[in-house]
Amino acid sequence: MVDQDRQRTSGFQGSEAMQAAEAVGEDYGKVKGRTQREIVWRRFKRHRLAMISGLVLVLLYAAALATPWIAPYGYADIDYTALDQGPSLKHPMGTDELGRDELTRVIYGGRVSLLLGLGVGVFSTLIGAVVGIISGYYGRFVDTASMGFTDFMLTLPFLPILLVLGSIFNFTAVTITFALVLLLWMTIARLVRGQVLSVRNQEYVQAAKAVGVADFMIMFRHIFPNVVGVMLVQATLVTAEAILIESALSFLGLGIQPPTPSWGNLLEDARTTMTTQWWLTWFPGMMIVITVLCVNFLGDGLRDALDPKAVE
Amino acid sequence: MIAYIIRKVVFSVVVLFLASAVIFALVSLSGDPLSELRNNPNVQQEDIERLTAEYGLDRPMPVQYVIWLGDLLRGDLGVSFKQYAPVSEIIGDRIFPTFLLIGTALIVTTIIAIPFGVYSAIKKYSLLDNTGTFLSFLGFSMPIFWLGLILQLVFGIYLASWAGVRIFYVAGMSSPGGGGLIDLLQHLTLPVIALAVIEVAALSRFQRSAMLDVLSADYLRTARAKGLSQKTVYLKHALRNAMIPSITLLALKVGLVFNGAIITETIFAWPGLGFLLVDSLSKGDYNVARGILIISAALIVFFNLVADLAYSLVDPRVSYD
Repeated sequence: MVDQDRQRTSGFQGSEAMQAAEAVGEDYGKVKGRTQREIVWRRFKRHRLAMISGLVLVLLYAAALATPWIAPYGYADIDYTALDQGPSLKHPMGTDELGRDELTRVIYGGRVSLLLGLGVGVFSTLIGAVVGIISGYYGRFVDTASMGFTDFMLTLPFLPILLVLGSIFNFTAVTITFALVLLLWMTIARLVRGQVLSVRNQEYVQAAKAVGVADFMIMFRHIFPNVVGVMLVQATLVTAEAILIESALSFLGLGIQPPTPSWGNLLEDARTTMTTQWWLTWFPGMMIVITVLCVNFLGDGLRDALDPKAVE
Repeated sequence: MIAYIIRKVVFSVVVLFLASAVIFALVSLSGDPLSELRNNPNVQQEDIERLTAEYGLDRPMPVQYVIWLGDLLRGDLGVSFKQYAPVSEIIGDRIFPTFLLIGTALIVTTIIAIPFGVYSAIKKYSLLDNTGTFLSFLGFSMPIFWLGLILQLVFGIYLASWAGVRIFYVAGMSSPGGGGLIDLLQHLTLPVIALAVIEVAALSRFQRSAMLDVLSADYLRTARAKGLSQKTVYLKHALRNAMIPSITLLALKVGLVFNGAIITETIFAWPGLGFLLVDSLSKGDYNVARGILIISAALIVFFNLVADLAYSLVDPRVSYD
């Protein structure tokens, strides 16, 4: 098309106006529509707090993975020449009553909290999505049974139950992850189901059914993309919740057991000396707040970016 | 409508029965209630056997459950293995402090969060709204136990040494020998703040988005168009509808706030059910733990039901299919 136009107008090539028009014409065929991914990314970039939070989280997770190499000391290294010291250049977050470096212990504790949060976020979102998609897609008896079970799980008093589980199993990081996944998938299942109900009677799903696409493929290719947004946002919320619950459990002495440090049990240790060794209370707590705040802002940015009702 | 209510009630009862089985089994699995006596060389073997038979611990767990459930339905929660007193008496003393704490926290939450949420919706993206957004993110990113510790440090210790007098107490519900309303308030303030901060953060955001939904509705444009003042439009037309979701959320909260109360009570040594639960689990006082767990499950189920029914009564748009 462009070539034909050029031939037809070749007699006027001298004029500037024509050259300009030509330039526009050349761009015309090249302007391409933005893909869904580009639109989402553009919107996400505009949420400045979410961008900063994402960056902070990347750093925190990098630190969690590289812990043994970046921690200045070992988490159980005892130094009798440096008991109960306040923050200094040598020990930026001070030391505890055994002379262990608090910064090192906070980094190791963060490794537990951050990886556990991510694990719970990913797995409970997957379980919730599977339950929600199957329940919403098949409807009828499957839906009644699985949503009844979901509602039942939602009404269990989950913190008391976790406390009891803690006294049965003597939690480790792995078993807490399991327990939290089992107690946190329900909200995601309900939200995903709602989303599935709103798309399962759309024409493209009907069409896929009509040409004989297998149920599994319909759920995966045609339904799943519709619930990715909800899943991502919920995954951040669950991650934040998991980090908070683990710290509370460890603080109550029923979570991660010493000598493995976690932000919760560091704070439990700090409790007895709270009035004098202020650094042991402030630093681990502030790390929890910063991490959870960043995860929540990230979720907020994702929610805005993935909102189908948002206008450019 | 009546069919809907009946279905909800039946579901709640079934849930509660299932929950009681889960609770009984989990607590039974968490250990042997007589282990302390078994390890005590002064206790005769036959005494242990007598107690085992007396408490029914020699029977299979399902049988124990049925007996426990039968007693429960008659209002008998069994006997404490550690304090040798009826569980209902031990728990009975702790109910009022917990209700006082949760009730005050929810009242404070409502008084602060609802007006604030409404105002932020009306003045969307104003300085106050943006500050509110940031603060509420901070609020629900904060572990409740750490907030409690910081409140103890700042108001209980830093402020006391700076002011020279104790304004707030950081443990218990009343001073030894002391009493009276002022003393109670001095003890109650910090745990209530610890519990309320997170709830205010959540409820004010919730109220804000509910109000925003209503503000864009057509009937509000109609109200403005017929010349009503802004105040009437906001307070009479918008607020009424925007309150519906919050009322439901509050009903749901009554049951769930117990989670936060467990932690808050433990930190502030508040003599309530949460503190007793943590204590009885660590001491292996299983019947007490079971009693508190079943009470909290019943509360959650009951308030879920209330929320469902209230919602359907208040909002004529809800369908009961």
